[in-house]
Amino acid sequence: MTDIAPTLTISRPPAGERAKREKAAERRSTMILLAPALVFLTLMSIWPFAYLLYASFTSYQLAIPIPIEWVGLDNFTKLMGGARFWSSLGITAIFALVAVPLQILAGLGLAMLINSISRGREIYASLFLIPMMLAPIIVGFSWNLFLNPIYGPLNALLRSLGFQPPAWAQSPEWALPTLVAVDVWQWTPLVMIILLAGLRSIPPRVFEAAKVDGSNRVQTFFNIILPMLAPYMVVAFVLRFIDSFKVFDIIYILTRGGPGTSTQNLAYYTYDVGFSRFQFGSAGALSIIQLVLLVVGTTVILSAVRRRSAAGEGGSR
Amino acid sequence: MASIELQNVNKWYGNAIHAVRDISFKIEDGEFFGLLGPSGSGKTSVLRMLAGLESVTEGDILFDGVSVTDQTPQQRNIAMVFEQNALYPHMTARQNIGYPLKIRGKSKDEMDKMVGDVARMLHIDHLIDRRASQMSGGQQQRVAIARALVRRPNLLCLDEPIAHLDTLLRARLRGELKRLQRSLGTTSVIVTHDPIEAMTMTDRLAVMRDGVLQQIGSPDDIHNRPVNAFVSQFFGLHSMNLFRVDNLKESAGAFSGQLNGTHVDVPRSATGYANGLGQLLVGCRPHAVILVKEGETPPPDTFRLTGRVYVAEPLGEVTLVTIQVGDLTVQALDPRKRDYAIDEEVIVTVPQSALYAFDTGTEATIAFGSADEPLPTADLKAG
Repeated sequence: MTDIAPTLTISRPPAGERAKREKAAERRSTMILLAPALVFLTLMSIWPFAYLLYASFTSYQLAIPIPIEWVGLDNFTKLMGGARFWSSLGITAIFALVAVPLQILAGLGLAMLINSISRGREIYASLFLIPMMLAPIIVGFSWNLFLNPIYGPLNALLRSLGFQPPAWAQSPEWALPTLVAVDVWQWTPLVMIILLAGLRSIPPRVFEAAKVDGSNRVQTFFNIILPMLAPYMVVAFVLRFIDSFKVFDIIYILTRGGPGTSTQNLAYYTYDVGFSRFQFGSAGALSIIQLVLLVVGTTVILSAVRRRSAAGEGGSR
Repeated sequence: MASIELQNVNKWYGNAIHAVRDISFKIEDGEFFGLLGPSGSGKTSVLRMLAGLESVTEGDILFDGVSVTDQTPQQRNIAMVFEQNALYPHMTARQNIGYPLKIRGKSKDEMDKMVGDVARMLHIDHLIDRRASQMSGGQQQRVAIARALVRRPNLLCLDEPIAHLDTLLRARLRGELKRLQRSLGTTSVIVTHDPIEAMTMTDRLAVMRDGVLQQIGSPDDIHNRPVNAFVSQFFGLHSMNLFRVDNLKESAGAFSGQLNGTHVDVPRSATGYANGLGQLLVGCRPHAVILVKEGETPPPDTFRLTGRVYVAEPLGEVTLVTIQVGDLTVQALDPRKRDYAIDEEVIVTVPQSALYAFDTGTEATIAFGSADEPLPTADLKAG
């Protein structure tokens, strides 16, 4: 290219040649501009992920100085053969499929309630956002104090009312419901704020039209509000679904996965395998499994939604 | 279908805004009634109170002689077409139109038939399976009208239903709406700020200003016999020209006065009232103005002013000429195809018979051009 450059400056190059040169220059500047981000991404994200993927197929153990060996799918098959894997998968599923729908329901209710307030709506909305703004560790400690079987205010209240309250986070029956409740308490506000935005986006005339058409509150809710909020509910569900796989802090602080392993989800199990027993190979395999589950789950949800909306619309919107 | 009556209706928003002030009138069964006024005049508040979307602070609303003041829109069985954006966006046109029927528990066959009928009537049967986002503004409004008409309502409320459409479509829908209303015989109330809509579509209309009813009458009444200067200026294709005449003096049975330092003759019909007033507002519609160019002889017996052409705008059939008379602006519609140069000197002349006179203080009409026309204040009281 350099050797023909002088002639090009004298006579105009053919159009095709010029376009090619411009394209090459553009590609060069694209690469230069993207390079810092690419380097950062590679170092911080792609390389660790690749290493994790590699580790999951090896016998990597941090605490034992044995040579790292390629073990193929051993880590995966061993994990899946153990009861602990399946029980933690069940706990993760409960967070994803019980806690998240509860958050959607409670968030919808709160959003409807706050939307119906005519004065000071913003103040109420911000107050409800507080749980979401707290660090999970603070949430955990607060609930730990609140639910403490001996000194906790909740049990003191219940006792004074004549109940025999359970030990909540320390009781085998109540530990999991307690964790689900805390997760719902912390993350309902996120759903609420998304759905509130959705509600506010419905033109007021639509509600008036419904009123004029003779639609009562229940009919308006099911025929107008709910379908119009559906896209917002999908967004909230997907966000919370992904996050539900990562619940760790509140389990760590409130139950340590106990009693026994009854409240261990996959994230806690991974931590336990990786950072208590330093079996990095197995922990890597566990992480990969969670990633696959998340990708599959999210894809299924989104494609189901897309299929439904495509069927319903008969065109683009 | 029903006759509608408002009795001393007042609307307050909070304690500060008195949006509708003591309004009473009656709309006959099957009538197409207009509420006209500039924005903030309270016309939409009146419509929303009729619809039951807004509470009545004071007064009573009667449908067929029965008070509905405390009833919901559903109980009143009213239908409404909103300005825009009031279709249910997640539903097709068919579902939108059928929604009032669906929640009333109509069978699917019945619904399909009724929706089909009304869709054909509004020429939207080919769009029936589209959503709001897949339709143009005009098509959306047609669907909204169809939704309102699908169940024969007692009262059809139209809140500027065609104000946001383009000019051609507006003209077309005006005609269609009028025909539909006539053939269905549904009592209808349209709110508009467009005098053409009010004039062309309605049987009678009410002009409002700052929450106060100014005049009720047929479009012809309101155009030709306005009760005051406000109505005369607001209603009509082109605003009425108004001049303030001071220092009224009588000489030989006729009055004359000073306008911008020029001597002018006052409408003879106002003679009886001009006595002792000292000043008057004189008005004329632009189409009544005859412009006299230099070298031409002004017609006899006219009100005359000399001014300069500010701008001339050809409108096809006529030319709208704006003339600067001192610090006054006068508009004239000239049916003759004449050219006007900017700053050309012209004489504005108005035949005595086309002059209106208004009181300078109350703005009430004192006289129309010809003295034998009855004063409109009587009409307002009757309405």
